[in-house]
Amino acid sequence: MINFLKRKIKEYLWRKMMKRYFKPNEDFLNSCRNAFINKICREISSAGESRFYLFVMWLKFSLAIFLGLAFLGSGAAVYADKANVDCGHPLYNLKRAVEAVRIELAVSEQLPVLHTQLAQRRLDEIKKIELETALTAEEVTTKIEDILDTATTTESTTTTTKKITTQKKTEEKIEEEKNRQELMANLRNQMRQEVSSVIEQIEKKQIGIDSIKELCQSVSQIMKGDEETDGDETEESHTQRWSRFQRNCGEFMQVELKNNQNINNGQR
Amino acid sequence: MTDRFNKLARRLRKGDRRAGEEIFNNFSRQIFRFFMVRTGSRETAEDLTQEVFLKLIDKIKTFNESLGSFSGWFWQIAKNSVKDYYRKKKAVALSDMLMKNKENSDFLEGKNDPKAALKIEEIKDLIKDLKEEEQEVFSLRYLSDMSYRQIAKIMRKSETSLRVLAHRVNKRIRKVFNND
Repeated sequence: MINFLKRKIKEYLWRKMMKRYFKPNEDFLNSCRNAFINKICREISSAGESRFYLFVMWLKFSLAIFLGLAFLGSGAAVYADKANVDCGHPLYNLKRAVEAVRIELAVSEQLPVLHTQLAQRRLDEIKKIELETALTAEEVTTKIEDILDTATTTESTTTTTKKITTQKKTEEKIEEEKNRQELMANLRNQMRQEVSSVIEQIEKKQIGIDSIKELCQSVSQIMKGDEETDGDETEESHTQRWSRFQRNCGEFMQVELKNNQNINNGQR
Repeated sequence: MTDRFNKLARRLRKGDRRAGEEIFNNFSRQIFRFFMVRTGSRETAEDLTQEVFLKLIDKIKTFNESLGSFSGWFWQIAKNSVKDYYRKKKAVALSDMLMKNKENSDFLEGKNDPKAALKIEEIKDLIKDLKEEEQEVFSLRYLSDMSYRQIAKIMRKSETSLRVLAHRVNKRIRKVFNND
């Protein structure tokens, strides 16, 4: 037992002695620590700082791009609205968006005038599309006739291939025509909505008499213009709209209204 | 323990000086002793210790927590540094290493003890004769007081085989001290 204890004490002592011998110099540890910490500051922390700097730069760059785009966008929007770009123009949707914003921001007194302006715009657009695509519709009919002729007269493979190609083209044309019709219907619908909004405003009688007269004249012109185009409106809604117009605008433009109705009845 | 150092490593990666300081305080002495045992030279051990800590900053971005603990990874850097050192230079023979006056005074704490100095010389000779892994066990177990579990992680050996190694080293050292 005593020997064991002696051995353990001896072991403890030699370990202590060895540790002391293999102990690093405190001066060395301090200088090494400083070198280590300096390197952290120089390389890792500075990398963090440079990342922050890059982030700030990126933020500035993004802001500049955003402002540039906003400037260009607003310029394009103003141009689209002022130049009254036509349907199919790349900026047309922007123009519609600006119109929507204008309606949202307009004061109640200006609203009927704005609706009238927009209804007039839609009417102009419808007329332009009709003019531009009138030929195309005729072409479609001719093409269809051509295909029918070709189908009955030839049976060879080449002709069939040609026929298929022509058929495809025709289908595309038909699709285009369909889209055109949809667009026209959409525009008409929007125009009538604008007109309804104007009439509603007149019904509320929140507008001065002079303004009502002007508005009624504009509205009647638009409605006449609507009839001139190839509208698909039902007889019922047409009569309803005119009677509503007559009810609200009749007393301001009696004479003119009678004449118009006579003309309309004659046309129909 | 592992989690603690992994957290410190994460902080160090972000450039936290305090985390770096904590890591230094925890590992510097152990690593110095390890180098001292492996190279037998105080100067070389100091150079390698400094080098390994500077290397740590360069490599900290490559440390992947999912592959293991930070301490294991860091010790691996230290071990590779020794290997690189031996690859580059001829090992300094421990027997040729002369203890400087300063070292002597450190070790003897001002007491002129020729008996102890002699023992140290004997131990140095013994260390020189030890195998590489035995030297590592000696440094980590007897000088740095690490647990077998920690040493097992560093040396990638089982605890049982480490115990056997440590016992063998202990036996040889005891023989030196029992020769009185």
